[in-house]
Amino acid sequence: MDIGALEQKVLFAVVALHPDAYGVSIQDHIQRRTNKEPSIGSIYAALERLEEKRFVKSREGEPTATRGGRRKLHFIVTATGERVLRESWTELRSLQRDLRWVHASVWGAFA
Amino acid sequence: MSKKKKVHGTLGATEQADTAVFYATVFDAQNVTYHPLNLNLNAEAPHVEEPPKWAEVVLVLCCGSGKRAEAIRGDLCERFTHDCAMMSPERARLLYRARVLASVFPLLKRAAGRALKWTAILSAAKRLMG
Repeated sequence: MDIGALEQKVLFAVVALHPDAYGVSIQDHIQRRTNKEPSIGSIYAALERLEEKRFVKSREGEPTATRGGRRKLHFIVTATGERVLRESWTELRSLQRDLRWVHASVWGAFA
Repeated sequence: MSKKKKVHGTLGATEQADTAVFYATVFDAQNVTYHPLNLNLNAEAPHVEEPPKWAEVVLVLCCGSGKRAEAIRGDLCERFTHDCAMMSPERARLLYRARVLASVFPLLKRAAGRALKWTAILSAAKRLMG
């Protein structure tokens, strides 16, 4: 099953932040690594799609004062999600490998 | 006479120490962190900034209710609280509004997609039944 670019980033972030992956921490992680800040809305839209495909599972956390007494929604990757992420990463790596023969400057950008 | 002076006048060193011990006991019993320089029991609670109301209304209209909507509002509130500690409340409010507006489009797009999917499912079911 295919996943989009943002879904892939979010899935990577959820794996990296395990077990403390929720909206703000996922946004921070993506911003730190890619220098682009996706909005909270687009992150939750991606997480909703991933949850529908059963690639992630969510559980409610405790409410805190800094969040105005609202609960966090923590996410973890399922076994299917992990397999799909690995597959998509392998596909990307194999596509990247072909770039070596195109041009040295292009390869340099992806190294 | 001297007793009256003691009650209404400034407290001596021993009485100050006694008062400190008394309040320490009270605070300990209430499980509150005690500091001898911070004994003002009538002090008001620190002022907490609140996010702009209209932006919250927009969020409620876009997200609806449920645990996901609560989490989105909580995440934006957490960002706002953090921003208030780092910058002026005005700037924090401005950033909050910008974040809400940036979140509206993907949330509405998702909601529209869901609605279209269910409309297609229902119409297909109707065709099969009829």
